[in-house]
Amino acid sequence: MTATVAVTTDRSQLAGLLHDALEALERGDEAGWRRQVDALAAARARTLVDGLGRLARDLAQALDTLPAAPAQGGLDDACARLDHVVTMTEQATHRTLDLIEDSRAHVAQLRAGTLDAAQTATIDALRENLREMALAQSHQDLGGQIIRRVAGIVRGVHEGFGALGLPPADGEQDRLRAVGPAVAGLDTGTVGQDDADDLLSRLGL
Amino acid sequence: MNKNIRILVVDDFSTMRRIVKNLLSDLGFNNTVEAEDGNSAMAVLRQDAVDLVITDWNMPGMTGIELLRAIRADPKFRALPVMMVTAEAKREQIIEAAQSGVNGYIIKPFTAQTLSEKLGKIFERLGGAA
Repeated sequence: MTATVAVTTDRSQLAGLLHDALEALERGDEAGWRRQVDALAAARARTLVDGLGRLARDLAQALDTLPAAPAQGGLDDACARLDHVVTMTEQATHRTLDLIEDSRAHVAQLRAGTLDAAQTATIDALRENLREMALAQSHQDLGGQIIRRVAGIVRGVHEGFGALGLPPADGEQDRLRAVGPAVAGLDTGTVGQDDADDLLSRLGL
Repeated sequence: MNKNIRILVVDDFSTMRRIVKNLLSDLGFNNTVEAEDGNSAMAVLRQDAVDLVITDWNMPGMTGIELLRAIRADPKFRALPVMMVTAEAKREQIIEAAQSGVNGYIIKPFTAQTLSEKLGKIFERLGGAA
């Protein structure tokens, strides 16, 4: 409904401008018809500029610009967050691989003992499972590559808006909006479990 | 098959280097060396005798395909077998790798069996020269 009204207004405004331009042209009013045509062009461009402005603001919000961040904070913040995800999964994957390697050593030790056929089969199955578990950790590499690519896209879009002179406007910060895990050095004002417990007990819980 | 051959594993993700090394170890190949991109791989090749290169494609610095071309352009390494283990899976990319002289191409994610088979094929073609 709102869109229909906007289109109707847009159309009648355009018709008015066209009429005025035509009349000025017929009168031989050079400056007059040029002014009307310029107004016409500006009216058409405004929709596009408004749309881009909205996109730029949406992007800024999506990037979760921090309260005290400098002008380019949104971009740095978003890319730092993505880098953090790669680091976090890398650490978790190394931890898993540590445990897998340790388990393999245990299995090798068991295998060195005297075993019947059934026990040998069980140990072989365990070895096979451990190998598959290690291989499944390749998600860290694959996911990491995708994340780095997304970071490149974010950077490109942000730079594109910058080139159009559309720096993301400072949106209102909604302190209650869910933002996922806190990233050290990026997120301010987050607390640990102990602090949370203290706070809750002070609130009578 | 000589299990003592020296294998250079090139990947910018330390986790993937470790996974490949684990699988190689399972297959009996324990003589491995690592590099995190094409440039450091070339540095290793120049100072160390390497019998096989297993490389990723998508790496910052020098990519895997650039490494492959650099290896083939150097008379010293022209015959060195190179296997790509990569998530790059476009037809054009595989064709480019083949035309640049790759000896094997494994698409991530891969299975232990695939790695074993492709390695076997490389050694087979080398006719036990390794």
